[in-house]
Amino acid sequence: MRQDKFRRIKYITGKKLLSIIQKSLCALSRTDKGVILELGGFPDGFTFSLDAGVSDVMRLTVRENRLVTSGADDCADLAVAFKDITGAFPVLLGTKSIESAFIEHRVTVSGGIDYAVSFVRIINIARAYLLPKRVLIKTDMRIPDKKGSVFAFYKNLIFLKEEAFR
Amino acid sequence: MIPEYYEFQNKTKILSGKNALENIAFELLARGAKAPAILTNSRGLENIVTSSFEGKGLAAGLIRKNIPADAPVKTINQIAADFKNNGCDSIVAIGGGSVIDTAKGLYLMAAHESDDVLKLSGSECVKAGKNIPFIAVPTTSGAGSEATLAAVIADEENGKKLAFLSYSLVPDVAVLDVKTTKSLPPKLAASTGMDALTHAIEAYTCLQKNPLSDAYATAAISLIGENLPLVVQNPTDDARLAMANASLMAGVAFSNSMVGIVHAVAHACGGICKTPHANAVAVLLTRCMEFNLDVCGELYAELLLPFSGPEIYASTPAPKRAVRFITETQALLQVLHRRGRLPLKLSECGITAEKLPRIAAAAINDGAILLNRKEATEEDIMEILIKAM
Ligand SMILES: [Fe+2]
Repeated sequence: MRQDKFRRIKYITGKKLLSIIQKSLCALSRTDKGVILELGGFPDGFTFSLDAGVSDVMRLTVRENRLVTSGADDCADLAVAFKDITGAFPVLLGTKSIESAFIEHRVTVSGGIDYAVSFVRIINIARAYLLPKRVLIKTDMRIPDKKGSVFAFYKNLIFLKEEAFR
Repeated sequence: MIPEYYEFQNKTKILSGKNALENIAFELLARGAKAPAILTNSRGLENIVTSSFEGKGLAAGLIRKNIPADAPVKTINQIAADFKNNGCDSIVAIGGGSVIDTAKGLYLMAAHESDDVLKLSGSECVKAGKNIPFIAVPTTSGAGSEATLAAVIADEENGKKLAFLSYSLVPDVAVLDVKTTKSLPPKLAASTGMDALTHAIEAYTCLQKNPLSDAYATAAISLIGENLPLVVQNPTDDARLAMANASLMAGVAFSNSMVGIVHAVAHACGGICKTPHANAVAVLLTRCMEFNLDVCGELYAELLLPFSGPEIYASTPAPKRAVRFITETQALLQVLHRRGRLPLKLSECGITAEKLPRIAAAAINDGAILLNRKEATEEDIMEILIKAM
């Protein structure tokens, strides 16, 4: 019973955290040069999905070198899926790096692995904005530089409505 | 130290030693197969296999020879169509890494009744499909593909080498027969042996390492340290069989802990310049070890014992063991260069300076780079490439 309760809490919190990550990635694709450079390696219209085992699946499409959210009907060119929410939750929460999820076989990848590597670097850039450095030093093997304004990022993240990223 | 969490799998049955090829018929029948497709680049080994089919209700449904290098997508798609049209039910691959990787592509398509292997690329994303018994007979001692979950397939249209990682790709049976590597020329014995050594070293140092992969990696390194110079200088059946076993063990090791920067760069060299994989790996290994040294030093120091034996290990002061392991590896390369004409520079492998930036850009997106213990940037890789020219 206790186990069920914890799982439900993880599920609800995970869903919210996933939506923050999704919005962060869209915001950074407008402000961070590192993310913009990574997106230059993807064809226009390329769609990623990240299934963290919560009911919503994050879906993002590259449009004119920016990330926009895409609908559930869009077929993903790269689909990263966690095998279970217990593997996804520490990554969403920031207590584990996305690389460690790969190392521990917590995820499956459908599509080109070269794109998955670039996607991991984009997620890591987002973590560098969202998490304090002292947390990153403990959890992440690679801490990327922030190549954009932190102020502009948070302004977009907090004040822009989700529709702005569609 | 035991990792917080790890996974390990090795389902392959191993037939090692004399007349192992003749037991393939039994293994196919035991798995309910009647019409295997045989993919081969060997000269005549398939005849030994097919003659052992006689009188057992087994007949080759398809024999495809002259499989091109690097397992191109087009070839795999074509063979898969023939596999279906000829009513084949199982696969026997006799050849080096490219033949076995081609067979893995075929296996994926046959098991999932797919018309394009590209649709199945990724990591751990394919579910178990139809039961297609799969037997691998390596004729080089290097790729280890006969016991790995990985296939590297060439997408020639986009100049890319695609990784396919799935536990369902691990062959059911691996056959290590002394006959299969008998005609291996010294140059190929040298380069493929270095590939096997690299698999073991990278498996032992990568972020996904675990106690079981370590056991396979160190056992492989010990056999390679002893037998690789022998198979190039004056090969005996024992040395050849030891290298075949070492290659398989290194394969099991890296199948479960993955490879790192050497393979990331070598895959890029192969994708862009068509450099034979084993040559690129041999040239890059010690350069990449020097790059990794500050982070992987302790692990390299541990590998001096299985590689060079207790005397050299004991006579080397502990702080110098990591560097000694690199110099011992360089010394082996020199022997293989003298006796087996192994290339020592990328420029000897058809790589030109103007291609280096493209290679570095591709290497940084190779999946293996994620698992290298030390972070590498595009600039780091450029530096390694320039040193290796
Ligand atoms: Fe290799």
